[in-house]
This record gives sequence, structure tokens and C-alpha cells, in this order.
Amino acid sequence: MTLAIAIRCSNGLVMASDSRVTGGARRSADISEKFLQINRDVGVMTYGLAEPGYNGIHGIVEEARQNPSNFTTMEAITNRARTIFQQIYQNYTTQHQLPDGSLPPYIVQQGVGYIIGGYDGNDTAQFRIYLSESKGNNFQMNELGDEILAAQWHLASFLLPFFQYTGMSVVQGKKIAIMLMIITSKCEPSVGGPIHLATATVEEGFTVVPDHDVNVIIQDIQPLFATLKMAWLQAWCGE
Amino acid sequence: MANAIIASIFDDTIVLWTDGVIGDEEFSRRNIIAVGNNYVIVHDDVKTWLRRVKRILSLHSLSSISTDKLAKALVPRLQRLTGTTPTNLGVVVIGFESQTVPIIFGLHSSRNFTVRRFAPSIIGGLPASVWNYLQLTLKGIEQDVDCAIGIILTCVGAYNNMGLLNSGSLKSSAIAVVNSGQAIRWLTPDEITDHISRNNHKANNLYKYLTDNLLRVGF
Repeated sequence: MTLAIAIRCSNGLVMASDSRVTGGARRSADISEKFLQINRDVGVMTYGLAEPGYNGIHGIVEEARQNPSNFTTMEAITNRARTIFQQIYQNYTTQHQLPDGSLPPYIVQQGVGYIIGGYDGNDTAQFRIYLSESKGNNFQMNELGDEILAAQWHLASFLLPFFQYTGMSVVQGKKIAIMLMIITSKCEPSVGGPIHLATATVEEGFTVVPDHDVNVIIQDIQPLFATLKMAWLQAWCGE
Repeated sequence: MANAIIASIFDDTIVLWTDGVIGDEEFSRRNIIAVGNNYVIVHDDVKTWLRRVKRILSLHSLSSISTDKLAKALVPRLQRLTGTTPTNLGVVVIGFESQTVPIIFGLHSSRNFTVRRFAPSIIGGLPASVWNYLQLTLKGIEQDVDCAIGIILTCVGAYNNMGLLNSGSLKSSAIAVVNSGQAIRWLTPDEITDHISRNNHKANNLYKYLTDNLLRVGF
């Protein structure tokens, strides 16, 4: 499994994911690549099953590279992405079907999901976030509101309202995303490994944050964990 | 959707919560059955199986055995009961080892009713991450019944807000305190309401503290 986050900030989007992938029979590794850039302003990330996830994001990116003029608006990107994701997932499930026609439990339980986020400069001039997940054999593509928390999202969903605030910028959004990743990885064994982070702003477009910069943010926010623990103890035991 | 259980153990006390919903029917506590000095909680597809599991639990031979022996004795009986039909049935056996140490066993149809011993945990389909987080964060503070109830209700409130509980689950919440050698004590609705009110106060304090401090350090 994994944790996938997309947060809307006042001046852009922040997308984050951990590295842990789980293949069949509960194998896991922390070496996955989950973010790719589709065009200057839009990126895609994946979570859940590794194989269709990688193939899906590479599939849409390869098509955008070959025919960039077909991928200039978010509507065009998401419509084509949905078809690609559906096809790849169907091929994957067909390949892994059991003799009785059913799917292995790990495929049914995990599924695969994609988050497409970025600035829709050529059409709506807005930052937009889309979520596409396997539900049975169908892929929906839904535009969502202020944030998306997917896969092992429960703890992040519980904590996010305590952190986010109106007017927060991408700078704060990155810190919040990393905090949620680290806290969830301590409490959920299927989340972990290096954190992948990307932002989408008007000035810089879709940008994958280098590992070095992610590590700097991780160091910067260390005091906040102590603050958070103090806050809980104060609220729980104090007046 | 399944009902669920959260069980917390400290010292010689077990505090447990169950949502008490069977299918679309709200009820209170019918899925918790006293068997001698032990308690058995039926969860998940309670509507289909509760009556038949209760019949098994009424056997005289099960009424005076230890908790672990009761759990083991249920294995073949539940396997025969469900047969090869695809089933979603869980049973939690709660008691006191050597009459003082709280102990919880879980059996589930998805594992052919293999007996598993549980630490304080969430049982029955709810994700454990919020529970794990609260246990880690509040580790070290003095645990008493009030604290355990507060932690459980914080989880329940969170999962309810996420849409993970049956509609009506919160309203039909049942909380019990089980001490070795004593009768199970159910919290009254007023007591549960009082705990929820105290939790809301704590959440407000937490939010204010975080807002003040996290923003001040440039979050």
C-alpha cells in the first residue's frame, strides 16, 4: 500500500507520496518511482499496485511526449489518462486471473490509483486535482476539492484539519505533507521509505522536489513533532 | 457493513467499545455474550450468525473453562457451523488469564478461525492507524478507565467522520468496563455523552494549541 497526498494551497498544489510498494504475496520495497511530469504544468502520481501503477503513469507521459499538442488542457489529459489507466489495469487483471476467473485477494484489496494535479493554464486558469481509482474493473476520474488523501489515508485525514489553514502557501503545504507522511509511516507498516514530493505553481509549473530539498524540510520540521506531542499531552491531561 | 470492536487493556481492566449495529438494525449489546467468566463478542456478519453462535456458546461444557481453552474450543465448532460457505464472521473472546491478567483472543472466518491473541487493538475491519497513533503519542501518561474511554471515543469519532462506521453506529455505541472477578459494567448513555463532551473539549484545546504554536514556528 502507500499514502498519497495532494493538498491545495493558496498559490499552488503540493503532491506527496511515500516509496513503499507492495507487489504480490505481500512483498514490499522502498524503491519505487511514483511521480512523473506530463507537461510543464501537470504531473501524475500513482499508489497501490506497483506494476499497473508504473505502466499507467509511464503510458500517459509517453503519449504526451509524442503528441504534446493533444495534452494542453486538463480535460484532454484526464480524458486520455482514464482510457490508458483502464486499458493497463484490464491487461494486468487478465494476466493475473486465477483459474476460476477470480482475482488474487491482494489485487482486489489494493487496487491501483492515480492522482493528476497541476495548473490548467490553457483552459480554466485554475489549479486542479483529479483522482482515478480502480473500482472493480472500472476507472472513474473525479475532480476533487481541497485535498486528496488516498490509500492509507485515515491517519492523515484525522490529523490534517489540525495542520492546514486558510491562506497557507506551497511552502507550508510541503511541510504539512511531509509531517503527515512521517507520522503515518510510524503507525502504518505499509507506508514508508523515502518521501517523494512535487509542487505545481504558476511560476515554476510542475516540479519534482529534489531529494536533498526534501531532506532539508524533514530536518526543519523536527521541532514540530515535539510540539505536536506536547500539544496532545497538554490537551489530554491539562485543563 | 460490519460492526467493529475496540478493546483497551491496562492493569487488570479491559475497556471495550462496540457499535452494536446488526445490518440495518440498531441494538444494544446483544452481540456480547457472557460465557462463564469470559465474554464473547460476535462481529462482522452478526445478522446471519448471532443466533447460531449464541446456541454454541450456551453449551454447558463451555461455561467453566479458561479463556484460552474457550477460544480453542470454539475453533472446530465455528468451522463446522460455517462449513465451506463464504462467510464474514468474527468472534472475540475476552477474559482474564490466571484470573487477573486481561487477555483477548480473536477468531475470524477469513483465517479459518485460527486463534490469535490480541494486544489492545481495533478488531473488526476498522483501520488501526489512528489507534496506533494515539497509543504512541499518549504513551507514558497514566492510564485509567477515563483515559482509555477517551482514547477509544476519539478513534470512534474520527472513524465516524471518515464515514467508516455504519449509520447509527455512534448512537448505538456500547462501552463496557470488565474487571477480573466482577460483573461487566456498561456505561450509561449519559456517561458516554459526558465522555464525548470531554473529548470535544480536549480536541478544541488541541486545535488551539497547535494553531498557536505551529504557526508561530513558521509552519
